[in-house]
Amino acid sequence: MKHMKIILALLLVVVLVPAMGAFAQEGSQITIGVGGITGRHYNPIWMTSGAQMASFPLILPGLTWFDGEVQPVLDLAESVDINDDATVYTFTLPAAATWSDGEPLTAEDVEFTVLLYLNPIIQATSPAFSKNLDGVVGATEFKAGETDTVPGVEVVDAQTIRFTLTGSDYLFLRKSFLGILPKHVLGDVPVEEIDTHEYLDAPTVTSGPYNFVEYEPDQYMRFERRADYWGEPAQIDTVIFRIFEESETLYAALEAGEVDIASIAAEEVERFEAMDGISTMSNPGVGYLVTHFNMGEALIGAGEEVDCAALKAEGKVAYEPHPPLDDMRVRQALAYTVDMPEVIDVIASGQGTPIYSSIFGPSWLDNSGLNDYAYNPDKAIELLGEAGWTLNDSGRMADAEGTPMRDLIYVAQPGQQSFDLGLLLQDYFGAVGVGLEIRLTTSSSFIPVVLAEEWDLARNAGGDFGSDPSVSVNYYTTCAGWAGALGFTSPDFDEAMTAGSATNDLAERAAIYNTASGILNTELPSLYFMTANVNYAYSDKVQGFVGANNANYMTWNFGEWTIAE
Amino acid sequence: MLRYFIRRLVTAIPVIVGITIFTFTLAQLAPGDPAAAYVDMESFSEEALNAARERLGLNDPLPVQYVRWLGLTLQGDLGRSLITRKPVGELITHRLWNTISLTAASLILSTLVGLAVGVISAVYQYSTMDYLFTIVSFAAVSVPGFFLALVFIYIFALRLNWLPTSGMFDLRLPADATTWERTWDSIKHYIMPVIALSAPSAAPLARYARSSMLEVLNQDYLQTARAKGARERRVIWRHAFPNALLPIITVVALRLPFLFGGSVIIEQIFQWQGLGSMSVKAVLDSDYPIIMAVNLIFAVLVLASNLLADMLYAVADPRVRYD
Repeated sequence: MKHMKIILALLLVVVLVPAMGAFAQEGSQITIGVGGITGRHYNPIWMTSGAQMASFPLILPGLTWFDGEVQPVLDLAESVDINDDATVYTFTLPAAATWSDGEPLTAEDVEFTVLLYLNPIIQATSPAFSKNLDGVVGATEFKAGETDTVPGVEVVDAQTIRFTLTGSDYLFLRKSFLGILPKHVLGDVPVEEIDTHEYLDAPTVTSGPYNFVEYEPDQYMRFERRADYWGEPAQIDTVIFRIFEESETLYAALEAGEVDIASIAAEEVERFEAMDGISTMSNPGVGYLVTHFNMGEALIGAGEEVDCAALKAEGKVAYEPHPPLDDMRVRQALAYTVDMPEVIDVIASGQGTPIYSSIFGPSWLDNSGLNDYAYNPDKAIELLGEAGWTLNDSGRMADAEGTPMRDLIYVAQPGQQSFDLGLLLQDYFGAVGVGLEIRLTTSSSFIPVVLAEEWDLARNAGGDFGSDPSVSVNYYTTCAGWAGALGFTSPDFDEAMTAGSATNDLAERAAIYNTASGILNTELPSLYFMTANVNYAYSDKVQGFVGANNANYMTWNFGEWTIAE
Repeated sequence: MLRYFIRRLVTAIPVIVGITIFTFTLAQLAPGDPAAAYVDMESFSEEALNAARERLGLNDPLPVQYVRWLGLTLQGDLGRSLITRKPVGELITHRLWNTISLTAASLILSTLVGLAVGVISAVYQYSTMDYLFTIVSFAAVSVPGFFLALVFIYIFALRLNWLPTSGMFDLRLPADATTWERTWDSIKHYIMPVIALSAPSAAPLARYARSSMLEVLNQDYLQTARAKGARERRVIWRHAFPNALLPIITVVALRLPFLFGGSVIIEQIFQWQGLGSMSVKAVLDSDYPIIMAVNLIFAVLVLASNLLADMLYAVADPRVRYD
């Protein structure tokens, strides 16, 4: 009996110990760590998360995509012809382009995808970047269900598709990145039923350099290199995008070598830098970190149903004031209380650059004339005084009648960084007698809270603001989502943003956007903090990775990536 | 006895309905709006949010929404996720097995370890081993499972590199991996979550087993067995242990709901694709149909484990009669 136990123990050791080693791999393989997937389906139409943006260019590319500096580049399209006033864009597809099932990829696929995307039934499901194609002739009417065709989208021949725009837009290449879908797979499916079609979560027919193998929600996507790819073939055989809901779990997997590359938080850079076999990279960011100010509560000028666009056309847009933040001097005063270097240290471990408006890049834009609101509590108190607020005996700001200012409400999106920023602001504002209450929200309660006007400051982060000034259009133009919620309206800003996309002359654009930037910098619809660096950690065996200024585009040069033996 | 259990099953129905009403009301009162997932962050508006609410049927009065959910559920349809619009039944089936396999493995491990430690502690009362087990048991009760999980990850995954940090299997496993390679890979992924989930359950069980065993060991009939020449091992395992087991059966059966509850955190830490991690996401997204379905399953489990405890008690002790 005793011998039996010893033999069994030895057997276990003999069998188990070798099995604890790594499995032998055939072909090159990479595991990319990404965050959770949001959106309705794993499909370009609902491409709302970084995991989708990093993976779709490998299987379902759009006509264009973005490079590491988040500038538009041709992707599926071979060439583009833009007319003089940038109202007509003619894209040419490669004649050799085919889907992975052998069917040719043609302009009809592009037309089909655009019409599907604009279809009112799909629009009701909140597809991503739903405003991108609004400038195409007939798109808004088609989206509203008023017409059956979009005259601005025209198939010229099998390889040529033409987009006609309602006005000059030199930035349309930034908006034409929608992943192209196969008409021969989805074309016969009624749009009402497309939501349940298996292709929407298992795009097995692809046009990019990889075949789709499988997607397990909340776990991973797996791609295999296409042997029959029509373009420049990729160099890595298998690509796995492993999904992590918790960043700490991702970091542990990265450290253990289970993941080869991932975007990491600033505070993790030092730790990964010290590890053997792992390199780190920091790229300047293009996203912003701000807290929006609630300056106005609702549009005035109509009944219950407010047609913002119509009011804007009549020059009647106005908001019900939301004191005390409706007063520009109060907003400016609060900006002076912020110790920006400290914010950058605490929130981004020192890896960020201060910004003074949402228009802060790219390099051709000269932003040097903006007010930096350098930390100056005395100036803050002076400005609050001009706005009618003075410190009372208990150190609180009070109006002329002695009524203390109510505590402002800061709405924090989920995440430690958001909460930490609230704590900092509590200290800064408190130093000049302004109270701040922090309210935590979940992913599903943030927008309802903002729309219910139960807030004074709301944190917002991300975006591609630093890549082109035009990105701010969707945030601060009158009637845009955030502008409506903030109660911000500036005809001069609206005019500048329209003019900025109607010229291709960089000097002219710089001058126009300087004006727009100046307006935001003075009126401060948001408290602008910084653009944080984008950091990556990756195994030394990953070669050819150059990073991107937004982690969503980290695979932009994936064709050049290799895995060292 | 059959009539007793049928009566128990019938009385469970209003309890389950009550739980669903309570959960439904609570889920609606919680902050958040699933319609927010249908609103573009760049161009959101009150109108867009309301339109999404209308489409999802969230503008109907709460009783109407509840009755609609109940009606569908009684027909075996748990509805569709408000976020992905996929059938909840399909989503849950996918993950239920993962949670069951994790909790079942934890239940078995915690029971075996708890009983073994309890019996040994009782038999060798006041020995060094007893003191050691007592200290370890108190430590295991005091240390939360999630902390234990993080310590395990640090030691066994990051420092020793013996076990994977998270997940349910190695995604890098080659397609032609043998069954043995796949099985061993799966076992490796089970080890840390199962132990982290088991430890806080095994420790109290060990304490229960020890005191129950001590009580039995002092009974006269054991002295009789010894006097009749029975070997000590037989006295303990054949005569003492089955009798000491009776009160422990209830404790073990009632651990099941706690294990399911504990799996929520453990699944999050280890990226285990079970009901726990799914329910956390559903709560954050205010995805009511999923919240309701998961709670329904947990409620049924609690009631079933109570019933199971009663049944096992009757089976283990012939003196127990329910009629």
